[in-house]
Amino acid sequence: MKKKRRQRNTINFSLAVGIALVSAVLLFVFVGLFYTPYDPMEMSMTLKNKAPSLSHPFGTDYLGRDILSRVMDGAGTTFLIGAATVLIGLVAGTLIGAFTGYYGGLADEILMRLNDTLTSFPSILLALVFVSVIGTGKYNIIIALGIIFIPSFARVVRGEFIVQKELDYVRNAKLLGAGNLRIMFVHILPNTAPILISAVTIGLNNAILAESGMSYLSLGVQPPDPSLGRMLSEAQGYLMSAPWAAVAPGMMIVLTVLGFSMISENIGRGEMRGK
Amino acid sequence: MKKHGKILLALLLILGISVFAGGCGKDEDSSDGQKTEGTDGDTVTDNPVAGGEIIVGITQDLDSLDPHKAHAAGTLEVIFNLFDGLVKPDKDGNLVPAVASDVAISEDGMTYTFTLREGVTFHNGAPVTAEDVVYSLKRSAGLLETVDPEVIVTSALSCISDITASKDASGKDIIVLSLSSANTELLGYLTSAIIPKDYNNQANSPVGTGPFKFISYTPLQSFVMERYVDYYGTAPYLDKVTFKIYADTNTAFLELQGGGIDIFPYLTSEQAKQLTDNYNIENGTANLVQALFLNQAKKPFDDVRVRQALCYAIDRQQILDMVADGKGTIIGSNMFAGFAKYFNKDVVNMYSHDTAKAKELLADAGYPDGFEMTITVPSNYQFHVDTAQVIVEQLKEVGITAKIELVEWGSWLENTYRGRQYETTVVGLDANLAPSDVLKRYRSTASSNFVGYANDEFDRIFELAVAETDDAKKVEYYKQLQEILAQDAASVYIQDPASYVAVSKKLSGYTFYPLYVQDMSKIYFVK
Amino acid sequence: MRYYVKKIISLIMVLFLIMLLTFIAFQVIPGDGAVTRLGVDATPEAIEALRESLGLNRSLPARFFSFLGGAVRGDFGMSYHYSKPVGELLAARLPATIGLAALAILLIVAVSVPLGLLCSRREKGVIDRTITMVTQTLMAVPAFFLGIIITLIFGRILRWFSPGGYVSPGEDFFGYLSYMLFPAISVAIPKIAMTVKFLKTSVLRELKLDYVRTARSKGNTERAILWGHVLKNALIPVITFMGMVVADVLAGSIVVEQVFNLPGVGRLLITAISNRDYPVVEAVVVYIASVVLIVNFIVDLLYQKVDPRVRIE
Repeated sequence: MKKKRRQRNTINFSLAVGIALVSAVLLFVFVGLFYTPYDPMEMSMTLKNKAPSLSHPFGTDYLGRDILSRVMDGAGTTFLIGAATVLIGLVAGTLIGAFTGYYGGLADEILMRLNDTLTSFPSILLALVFVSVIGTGKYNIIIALGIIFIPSFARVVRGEFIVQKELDYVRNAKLLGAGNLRIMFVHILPNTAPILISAVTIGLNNAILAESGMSYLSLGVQPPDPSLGRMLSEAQGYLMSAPWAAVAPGMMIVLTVLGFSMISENIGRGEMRGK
Repeated sequence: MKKHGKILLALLLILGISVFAGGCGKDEDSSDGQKTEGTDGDTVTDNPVAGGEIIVGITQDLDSLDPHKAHAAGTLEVIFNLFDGLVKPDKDGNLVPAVASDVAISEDGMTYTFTLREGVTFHNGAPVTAEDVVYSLKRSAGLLETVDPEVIVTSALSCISDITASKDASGKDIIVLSLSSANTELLGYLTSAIIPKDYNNQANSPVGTGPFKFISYTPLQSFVMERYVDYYGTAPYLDKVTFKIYADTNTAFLELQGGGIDIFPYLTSEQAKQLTDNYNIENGTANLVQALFLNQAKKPFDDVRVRQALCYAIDRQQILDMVADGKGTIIGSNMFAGFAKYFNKDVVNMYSHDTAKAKELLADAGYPDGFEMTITVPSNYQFHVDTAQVIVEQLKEVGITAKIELVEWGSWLENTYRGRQYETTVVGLDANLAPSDVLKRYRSTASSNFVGYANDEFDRIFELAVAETDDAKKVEYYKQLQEILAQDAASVYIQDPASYVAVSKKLSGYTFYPLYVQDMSKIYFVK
Repeated sequence: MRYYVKKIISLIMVLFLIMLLTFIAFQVIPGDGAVTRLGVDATPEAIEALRESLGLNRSLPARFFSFLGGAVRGDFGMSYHYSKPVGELLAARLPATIGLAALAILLIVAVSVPLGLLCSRREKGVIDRTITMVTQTLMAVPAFFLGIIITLIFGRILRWFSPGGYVSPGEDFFGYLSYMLFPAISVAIPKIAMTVKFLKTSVLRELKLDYVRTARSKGNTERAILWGHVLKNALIPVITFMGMVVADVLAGSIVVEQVFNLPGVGRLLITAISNRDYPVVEAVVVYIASVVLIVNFIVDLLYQKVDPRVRIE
């Protein structure tokens, strides 16, 4: 009895921390939409690479721009890209994975082969192709990354469906005359939730990292607009002389990802208990 | 309560990593600050020691080892050590005899006569014959009967109509170049490598006459060469030089700090400030014309008032201060400062920073509220990207909204440079050791005229300048050409960037050239 | 038997698709081998001549099928940029990439399976919390940044290895291993974090299922249940995930190779793309695709080994 209560408290606590982290980050971004202490693009010769101080709590970067303002502005961009990318990947990936996993057969074969093709195609080349067809910029990056993310979701969902469709509860539902679509999306899908939630957390994480990777390769958000990834890659050359330029965006990424995974873990548990 | 502790611990762990990394950065900084200061004036008088091996860091992989097929600046700077031409540049940009011991140019600029130096041998031991020279020149001028399409034909050599070998009165070998049109600046292109005639493996195992001899090359890893003992000129000091290829400057910089590289030529001003006691920082100019190039085929850049307004709106000193710690040389036209003889100092300040004037000119041209423009920048050059970021800020003040578009180098070459599909672009252009080479792209008919500049007066004077044999007059013509470009604001000329080279304190003799080369033959260990 | 024939046919289908896709990609992106090789100073005539000699002026189908024909015979032609046979260039890159991948996968399995089980045995316990926190934090660090930080700490400050170094395994095998270790750690860390998370979720879910309850009621110990029943089932989604990881790592950890300056396949790919060196890119893409496909095939086989419910038709 005692043990059980303790565990429940910790769950709530970790959930609370997760929610607190995520809301703090979201609030920060939300405020950034309307107000930043300085213009995030404004440069200053006298303020190049200044360490954190009262007037610039996160310091300034190599062009004398206020890092706090840039993080506020850039985090919004990064989250938008991350969330939209995962949404595209999740929706399309779940649909593809569910159908191919459930039905199998030729459609499964063809889709999975297309999936393989996309997985093994170098993402840099893919990104370059997207960029030359639709151009650079925030929204184009979302489309490009979203498509790149579909296969991993599809693969995970398909694996789950293959296992679940053989289980008794699916057989029972079939005997009771439930339609295939109903079985797939009403019966099986909720049972894939724990795995899907993990996949979303990891996906969100990967999307934020992919954004920084794209920025590293200069295919992402265009300067002087900030994004967390772009700020990190710009800070790379100044890691020794101005480490704060990397710490602020880096911490922002870490806190966000931590917050989301703490929440997701607890939601995941709740789902399972409910089953 | 316990749980709090754990989360805190984890957070501290994260912080610990960053603080750790940050902390050591700080250390480095303070200990290096004073070091860089003292090393700028490099006039060490020390005793050269013969022998030794060094590692030089480079960041570009080599394209071809065949000197007539190699194009990339990153390749040419390395194989400079393997090959000599009839003449070669010295550190002041003069051309001195190399494989040729003497050169005579006829009064009318139509005939060049070279005397072959005696006793020059190839790395394979064979003596250099007049036949080899004729073959080499014909190969790089595209005059051989079977043309290898990979050979980059030096277009400036297209005025050569014939190359013949003969003997002069005293029995020495001479090579005569006959031209179809007068050109007194051809010498700058005759640095083209002399190679053995019937040797087909240049691309894999190059053979030349230079101070160093090829040992091995592994793509993406290293290029190794050793001293050529039978070199006809001043023998190099070092026994062996390894060029190690790095993925980028940041990777190389990390190893440099660990002491794994002896010479590293592409430091940023920021990195130069951070180096430890083990390195001297050598300062030079990069011999580039960095500019905001304006495509005059696109509105509104066809209007000279708009172009001039941009010149007034952009504060070049501020750009230098922001991106290069104030180092670099401001230029006013398309000529690098290192080419002192031809560099027209009078045009440098033709457009001093003046926002009021810029606004006035914009209003005149019909853009009182400014306009929107795109700056295309090749993404692999952080220096140009940063310059563009500063320009965007500066243009805001005159009401112009500029947007940066990063493109990959291959796309830049195809779409921006060759296709001329751009509005403005920030890039640095280099050139051969001839003033005409620096300015030739502004001729209205030039295929490399990617800014679409056209001025009959410019074309006319350019012709005169190339054909002129009187040196003083020639210099005058070239200065005039620079002035025309500046007056027309053919582009917004910014700077000839500074170049920083880290050289181990054990070494000396690093030499800057008005060209993009790494001359290893003058490097030596100090006692 | 039929199953294998089908597999092989689909493998060939994917390889064909991917080659076609790469070819089309090269038509879409601006620039070609001749332009990038000759650079700014080239005259239009020189570019035209080089295009002609590289065969870039032939019709699209002619180019694709001549390349395809070569590839079938295992001959990917000459690199546009290096004037060397593509096979030779690729072969020289394999030791670095394969060594990196092997070491990284070893690390991932050796570290994440015990950690994942440890976490799931005492969910929300001290160990679980700590491991979860640390792995999740590490997961959030971009790969290039992790590489740089590892180089800084272990290479520069502690001097446990010399950054940017590499020797081929033939020359000095232990030296080669020592140069591979830290890059392998950089590759492994984020994947370890993900694998632990996956394994944990999967084991916990299995533990809630009926058969575990039945086993418990029959008086089996927790340990026996975990090893005897749960682990096998829990490994299924993990195997899918590991398959992706293996393919990912073997296909070239581009960023890590870049940061640690290893002469691997990933760096070759980056360089070749920016040089528009089509034959090299095509060969690397075929290599990557083959690796991915073969790994996926093995994953499918493992599926049925681990879980008899999955039948191969």
